[in-house]
Amino acid sequence: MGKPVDRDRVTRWVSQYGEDLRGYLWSRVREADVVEDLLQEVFLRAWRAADRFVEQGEDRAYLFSIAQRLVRDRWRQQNAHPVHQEMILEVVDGQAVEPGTLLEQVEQEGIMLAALDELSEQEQSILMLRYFGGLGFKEIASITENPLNTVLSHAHRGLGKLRQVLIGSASRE
Amino acid sequence: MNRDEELARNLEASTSGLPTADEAWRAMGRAIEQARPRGDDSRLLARLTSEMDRETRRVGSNRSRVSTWPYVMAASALVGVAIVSSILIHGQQPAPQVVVALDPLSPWEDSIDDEIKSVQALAIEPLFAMTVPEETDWLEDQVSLLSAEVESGEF
Repeated sequence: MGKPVDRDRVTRWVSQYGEDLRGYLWSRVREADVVEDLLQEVFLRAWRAADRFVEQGEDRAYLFSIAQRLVRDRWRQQNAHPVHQEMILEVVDGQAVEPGTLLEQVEQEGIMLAALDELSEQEQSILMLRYFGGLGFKEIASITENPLNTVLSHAHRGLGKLRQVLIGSASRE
Repeated sequence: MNRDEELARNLEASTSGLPTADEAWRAMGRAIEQARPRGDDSRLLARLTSEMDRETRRVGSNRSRVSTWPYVMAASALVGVAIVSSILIHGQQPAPQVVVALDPLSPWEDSIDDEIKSVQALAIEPLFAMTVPEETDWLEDQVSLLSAEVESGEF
């Protein structure tokens, strides 16, 4: 265990990156209780190892790299897709449809989430690190320990799959 | 599909009203933002503070425990000597429980019962036997007695 960082910094991390990290973890795990546990673990691990944090440099990338590793370990432990079709239907059914919001849009969002779940672990990981972390592909390559070309290829393929779903959804309307 | 084909397809999609990759990206974002729950940062901070306090106390406690290393070394040496002497004298290794019971830092130390204590005494006994010359005489007597019994057919 390295020397812990000061607690004020942890408080700033929570305020600056907490919501994005929560979003990232939710997009990968989809269980609110587990997300909160993992989020706590992200900050605790970062707090415990200030020396490694100094090496890594950038706070955001560092925190997201920890989150990514935690999710990857969880996927490996479960060795199964963590999201079930019922949960996706709940997302669609549970939407509060506000006045002026088209039901079709809600359905399309459910379809997009389902499509996201169908992506490979790497495709999901890369797209979500990009979306919630706002990280560059070089940073993502470093975090996921993949060559840049592989990361670009996964991102392109993943986005292509989502686009196909969107095309299919649009053609049914 | 090569790059030219991909570009051609993208161009076709953008001009035929089909969704582009950018639109897919935005649709994905909308779907996630609509569905994902928002958390409670103050609750998270309270949990983190509690956990950091606990770990800080635990680390402090571990550091103070490090100063006991001479006792650990001494205990380990005692266990080693007891095992070797047990093998030398009795020709067999003491039961694992004995080794555990001999270790003063063992987590089972407080829970050992009288039976294990007696086994512990048996394991320590050879340690003293090695330093007492009379014990060797006693062993020789026992061997002589046994030999006599075998020779006389009583054994």
